[in-house]
Amino acid sequence: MATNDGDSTEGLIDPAFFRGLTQRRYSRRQALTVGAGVASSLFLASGAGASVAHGLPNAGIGTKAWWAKQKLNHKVDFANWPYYIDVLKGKHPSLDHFTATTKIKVNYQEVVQDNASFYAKIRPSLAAGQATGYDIMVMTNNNPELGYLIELGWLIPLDHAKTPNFNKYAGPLVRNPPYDPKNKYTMAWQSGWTSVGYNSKLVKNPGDSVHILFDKKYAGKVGMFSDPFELGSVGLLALGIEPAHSTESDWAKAAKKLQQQKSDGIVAAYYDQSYIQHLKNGDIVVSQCYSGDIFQANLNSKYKDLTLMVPKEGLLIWTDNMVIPLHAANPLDALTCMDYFYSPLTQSVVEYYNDYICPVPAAKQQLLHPTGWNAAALKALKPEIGLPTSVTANSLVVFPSPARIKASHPYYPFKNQEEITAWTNLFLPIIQGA
Amino acid sequence: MSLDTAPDVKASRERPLGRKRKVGRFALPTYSWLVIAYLVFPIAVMIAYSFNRVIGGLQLVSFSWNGFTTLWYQQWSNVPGLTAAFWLSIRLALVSTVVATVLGTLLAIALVRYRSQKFRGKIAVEQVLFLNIAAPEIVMGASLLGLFVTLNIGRGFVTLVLAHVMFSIAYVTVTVRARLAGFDRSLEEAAYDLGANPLTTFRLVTLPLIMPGVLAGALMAFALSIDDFVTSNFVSGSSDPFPVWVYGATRVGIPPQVFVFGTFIFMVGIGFAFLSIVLARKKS
Amino acid sequence: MDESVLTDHPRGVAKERHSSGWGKKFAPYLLSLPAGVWLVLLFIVPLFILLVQSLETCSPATGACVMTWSWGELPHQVNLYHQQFVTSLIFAAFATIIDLVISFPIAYWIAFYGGRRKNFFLIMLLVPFFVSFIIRTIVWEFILSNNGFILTFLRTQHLVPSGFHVLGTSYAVIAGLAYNYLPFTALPLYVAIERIDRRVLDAAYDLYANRREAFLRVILPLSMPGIFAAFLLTFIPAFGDYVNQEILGGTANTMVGTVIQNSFLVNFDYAGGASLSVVLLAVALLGIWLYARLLGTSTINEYL
Repeated sequence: MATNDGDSTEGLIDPAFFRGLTQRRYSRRQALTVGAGVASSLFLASGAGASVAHGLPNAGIGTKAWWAKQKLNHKVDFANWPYYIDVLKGKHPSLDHFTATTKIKVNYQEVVQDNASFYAKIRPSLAAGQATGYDIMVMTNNNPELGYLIELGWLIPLDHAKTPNFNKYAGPLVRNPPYDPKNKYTMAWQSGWTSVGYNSKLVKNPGDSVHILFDKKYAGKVGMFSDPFELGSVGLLALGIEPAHSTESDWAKAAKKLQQQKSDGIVAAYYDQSYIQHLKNGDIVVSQCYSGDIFQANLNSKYKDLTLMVPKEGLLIWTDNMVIPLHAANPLDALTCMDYFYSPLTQSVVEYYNDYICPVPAAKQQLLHPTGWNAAALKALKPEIGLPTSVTANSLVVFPSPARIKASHPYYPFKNQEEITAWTNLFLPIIQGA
Repeated sequence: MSLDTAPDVKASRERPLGRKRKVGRFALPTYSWLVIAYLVFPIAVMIAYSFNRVIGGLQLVSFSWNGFTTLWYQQWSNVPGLTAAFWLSIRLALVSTVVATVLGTLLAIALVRYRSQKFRGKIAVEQVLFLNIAAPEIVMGASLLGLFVTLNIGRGFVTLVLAHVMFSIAYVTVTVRARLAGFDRSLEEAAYDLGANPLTTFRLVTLPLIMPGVLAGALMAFALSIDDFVTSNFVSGSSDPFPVWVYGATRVGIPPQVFVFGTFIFMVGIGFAFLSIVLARKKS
Repeated sequence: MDESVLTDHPRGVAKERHSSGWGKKFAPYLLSLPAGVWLVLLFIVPLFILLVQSLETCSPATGACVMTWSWGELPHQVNLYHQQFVTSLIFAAFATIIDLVISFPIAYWIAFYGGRRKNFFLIMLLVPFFVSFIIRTIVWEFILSNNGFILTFLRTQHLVPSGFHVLGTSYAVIAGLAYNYLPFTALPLYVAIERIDRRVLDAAYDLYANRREAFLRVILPLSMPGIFAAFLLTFIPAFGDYVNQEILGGTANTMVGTVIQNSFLVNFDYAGGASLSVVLLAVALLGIWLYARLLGTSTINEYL
């Protein structure tokens, strides 16, 4: 990759990191194996250029010339989150159609349970310059790990000349996002909102503010997220502060409020995605939640009382992104597969099952009036899902209005590791402290 | 004191059924069966809910009863990651049990047979064993992760075996040693007298006699391995054993197939139990 | 029994042939070599690496660590999370005591009255634990959940107040710990009790001891090493456990194991996690050492 965006080399190795270290000079070889200089200063997300300096592991990879040399191997290893793709009697219609038309076999594995643990699994291979075993991985933008991957040069840049579907059909939400300008490395899989969910049978007059999470009326029955980035962000929202424009002193204020919430005995526990089970069980009655979980829960008539709130403070929006890790064995197959999911016909089938925010607005029409192979697939899926496709198509949770998208709040874009550490030092003790 | 006024002398031998004795006789067994029932209770719930239907939405276990179905047993392999994790755990447990039992038994023999003069460093070995049993699993898991990362060893099946054998050896040694300690050496001496060399003696005399202890140790090692979560979580890399997979999958909910596998494992255990009764009956 | 007895035996030639030679001299070392090497490489060495790691500074992104001799990390972590250590200690202690009380009668019963079906009962005791403890704990989580059948029943029968809940409380965590570590208590107890020579017990009865005296003055002291081992084998793992707390607990009862796991696997704070692990190990060892002094160090070696 020939482009060198400005003073990128300096940004990777922060002099501050060496303060307090004994004098130690890294040989270039060490730097390569250890990952570009054990940088504690990483320019993340905010578009500092994801620059490729001399010495990054993906130097020279992902260029037009490099992509031109890639061949199809007719297989691809796809790592994704669970329950995130259409499934019909143990098979995936969208993937089956892909294989039928392109002859590329997809080994789909639902091995991403959360960003940190998945990153912990792949990092050793990447740090050692070896393949991870996956060609496509899906990582969220609201945890540091995606930023680490980009900064450390562990992803293969995409060639958008080979992604016609994406170029034509990608929605404004996922096109050229702030955390990955020009979609250099990522193509969104789905987006979603973090909001407030509650049991409408047990919570009368929920109102429309995130303050319900801090309401003493529900003491001991409120669920909060154990992810410090989610927790801190909702604390900021509750104070009326935009997370993306917050300052460190804002973070301290939010931490104070959240600590107070804990001391007041309001929080039942800090959950990962398992909050949804406790909401169903009645252990909690109101909780931070993910938009798609509530939709999926409602498919079971027993849980139709679970409701998604759209707080006046706004919804936090995140995106799960498909990326190709370095040393992937089948990059061209991966890119082909990724682009396949931007066809509106494919997305209609996936979205009918998923109910998160669709990256392809044209899929809405396809749900209402399917024009191709998806017609049969949608029909076959209907008994499993139990709802007509029009419900998904007309859902504002799946195809939000542009106004609602504009009103959604992104997460704070961390500029370097110090900021990440400052944030986690504030909010982790609340989650795991006594 | 004459014999017939001596309290309970006869009682210990012949156990006359005075009223107090009658109650006492049933108290312990009843209590023990209650404890076993308490232990089995969640298993019973698990087995019951492996036959529970799921209505609507994702195929996750529903904890309210929706009706009986054997669907999950028919579709037992429908969750690919789960099936792979299960077989991995079985293979892992078998391999690590064999290795740990052999190593642990040899070590136990060395520890029992030889005094410190003949076995320099015996105290150190005992202290290491002690430390191994005493160390919290999370410390062992974290330290192993540190080792593998430092040495750049990719984490997978091999690292899992290394870890599982590591924490099983001490348990096997302790179990076998406890059995060996009461072992009557005169039988071995008799074998020597009859001209057997140490290897033959071991094979034909010692091993059969300590076999119950060795089997107990092996059983312990197997149970430890198949159930291990903490250490495995740290060193498994991308090949998850069964408990690690289940833990990771619990976020949104668990597929009913998890309960199917759990039931299967439990039935195998029950099978062993019956086998042991049969063998015991045969022996006598 | 000392080997020298064999060589001194008057019946001699066949024995001497086998009791001389370097094979016998190196036997203990050869026998313990495989296990010893395994333990040193995979147990002792990593512990040192952990110690070293606690002094390093690590990058969360790459996981690479640099030695910076940061001795301050250990006190810093203890300062942050000392409450969690206390919580872990208390929970583990309660769970262990509960387990000892529950296990002793059943271990005693199997050892003394099991007869030919001893193995069967032991396996019955162990079989539930073949099923992964994750599954068992998850099932407990649902059994004890607010809409689960137990709590619903208790509430409709007005046996408990309507706001009553079990999950999230410290009791739930202790109950989970006690349940999950029961075999670690029961098995060593059984092994120790089973080793008690019946003849000693009979001798006690011969000397006109009643059952209570026989228990207190013969059985209990003789099973002390087993009780000691059972206590250790239960307390230490419970001390470092976190799964029970994560699944059954709430916000007020985080254990130190949770923090360590998060440090290593979620936040990639290797130095912090290593520091906490070192302190955890030190506390565990300290407790054991104190306990051993009370009981006499010879007991440990004798039992092990």
